[in-house]
Amino acid sequence: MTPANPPMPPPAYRGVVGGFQNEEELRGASVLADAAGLRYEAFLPAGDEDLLRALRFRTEKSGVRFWTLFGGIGGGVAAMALTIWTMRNWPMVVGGKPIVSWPPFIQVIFEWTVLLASFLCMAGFLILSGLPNLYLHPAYRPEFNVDRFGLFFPCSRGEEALARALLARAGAEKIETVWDRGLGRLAPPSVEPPS
Amino acid sequence: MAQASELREADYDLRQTSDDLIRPVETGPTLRYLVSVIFAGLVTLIGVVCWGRQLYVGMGVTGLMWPVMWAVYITNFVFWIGIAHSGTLISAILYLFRAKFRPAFSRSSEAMTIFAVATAGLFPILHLGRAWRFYWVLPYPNERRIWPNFRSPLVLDVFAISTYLTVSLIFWYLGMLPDMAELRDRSRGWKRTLYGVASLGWTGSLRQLSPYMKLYILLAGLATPLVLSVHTTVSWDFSLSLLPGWHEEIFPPYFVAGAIFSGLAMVLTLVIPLRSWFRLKAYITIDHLERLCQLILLTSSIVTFSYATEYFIAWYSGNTYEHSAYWMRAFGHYWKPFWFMIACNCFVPLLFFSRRVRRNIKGMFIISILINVGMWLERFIIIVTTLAYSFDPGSWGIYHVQWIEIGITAGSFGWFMLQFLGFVKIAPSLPVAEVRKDILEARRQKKALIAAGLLTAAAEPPAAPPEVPA
Repeated sequence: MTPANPPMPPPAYRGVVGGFQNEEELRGASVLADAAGLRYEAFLPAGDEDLLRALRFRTEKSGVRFWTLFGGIGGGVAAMALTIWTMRNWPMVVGGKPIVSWPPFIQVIFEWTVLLASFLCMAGFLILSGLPNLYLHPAYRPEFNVDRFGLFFPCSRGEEALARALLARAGAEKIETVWDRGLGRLAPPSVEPPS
Repeated sequence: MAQASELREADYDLRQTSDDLIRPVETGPTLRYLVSVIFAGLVTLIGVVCWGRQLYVGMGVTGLMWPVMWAVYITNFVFWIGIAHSGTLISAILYLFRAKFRPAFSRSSEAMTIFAVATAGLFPILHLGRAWRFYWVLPYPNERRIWPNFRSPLVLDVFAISTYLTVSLIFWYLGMLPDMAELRDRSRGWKRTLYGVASLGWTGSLRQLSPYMKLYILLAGLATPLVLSVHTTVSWDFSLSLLPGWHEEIFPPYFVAGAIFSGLAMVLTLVIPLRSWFRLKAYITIDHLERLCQLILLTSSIVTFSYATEYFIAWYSGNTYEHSAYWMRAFGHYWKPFWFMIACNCFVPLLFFSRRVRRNIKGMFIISILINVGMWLERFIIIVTTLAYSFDPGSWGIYHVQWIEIGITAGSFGWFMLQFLGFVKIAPSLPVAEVRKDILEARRQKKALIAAGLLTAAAEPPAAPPEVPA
């Protein structure tokens, strides 16, 4: 960091994070957190449907489905318009067929239905998941993408003791306070308290 | 048997698994790898030089001559599209079926799909002669007096293949997000930036995972009908014409089955060296390979049935031209490739009925190559014999392949290998997050079995680093 840069903003308090060795402990902690009324965010090393359902039963219905549906409908209608409009504007009789002979157009309509559904499926996922976002979550640790299950409580300082006790009770290791130090893009996430 | 191998995964260490699967990306190239890259590069170069000569001299350097105006290039096109087929079959359809052996092959077969489509796409362009005018097939308003004709299967093919390529790319890339994030966390410097941007900022949080899981299953569902549509459309290139030997209703399912058959064989050809070169034998086990062999056996029998149906209908229809086309196919000028194809596609895969062959690595590698030779010949036979022996004997003509065409064909194989070799050094060739998920699932199953008293904890094998002899 060169001296010409403006001074770094003071680190902001974000909450408490802990890592679990196995999913049973994580589930236990999530049950405790629900009972204590604490909001949480978990980091999982693998997208496991059972675990996801157990942790986030409230958001079973994902908006990605609707994005995909609208993409599919839009793609189909667009392809229908493309084929019919083109054939009417460049009319050419082939094999004595009518100008708008729709059976072969179904193929184009099908392809665009799938294509736009896939595009909007991807767009819906990116919007709902807040990606791309090159500023990694301050509570994220690399081991949460390998062999540890992370549980983060975005709590106030007043709730910190409760959150720490809860994590310790559930068997978490490396319980740390999360500070957002406003580090740059893709910076290694830091959870140590500021010096 | 299968259950025991699945439960073995429960003892894999997650960090060790990550290290094992990512090692090929992080370590430098071995001598064997470098030699392969140089070899593939040289073969590609031969193809490029041959294409250059074709562009300079003109299409006369090829053996294409009336009546055989489609030959080796279109054969290659259909062959590579066929190879591209089973990538999405394995990753999407097996995902929907929750097949346990999917992660062993999914990433490499998805990569194979992308590279095979990228190779296949070159051939219609090569075949145009004036390759720089390839955009004429795209339907947009123009003043060239070229009418876009949406009834032509050649135009439909452009839609089918470009959609397949795009959707496969999305499916492949988004499937890699967790692995890219892991590579980001493990690397420093410019690599960190590169993988960081590629991972889009993935952290595996619930906020990202819940839409991700939905996305993945939806994309798998969308890609599945595409798998069937692409080769169906390619088969229409032939079956919508009126030529005997092409104008057949059986073509779409016949082409799809053949494509899956050849694609599975190509996966085997690629994965067998991959697992031994990069020490992945614990993750691509002999059990996994055996499942693939069983699928090959199934698709081979469908292909054999299709051949039989073609001949039966040619006889049963009572149509002279149809009858003569199929007679000339088997006993005309091209009888040698025809019978070699029959041997490779119908008889050689029958060896997989034997469990000993299904579990013999060398044996299955040789069989997989023979199947690919057979499937390449199948396309050659369909295309060339039909054109060579159409209705009127006065218009018959024999095609002779020229060295330029052989060079370009070899170049396409080099180009495909080059892309694949590059890929194994850029991304993990197995989906690390998927493998991890299977390990977690196996652990859960094992715990349930122990809790139910069906498995004693003492029977647990030692949690040593997994190394399975092959």
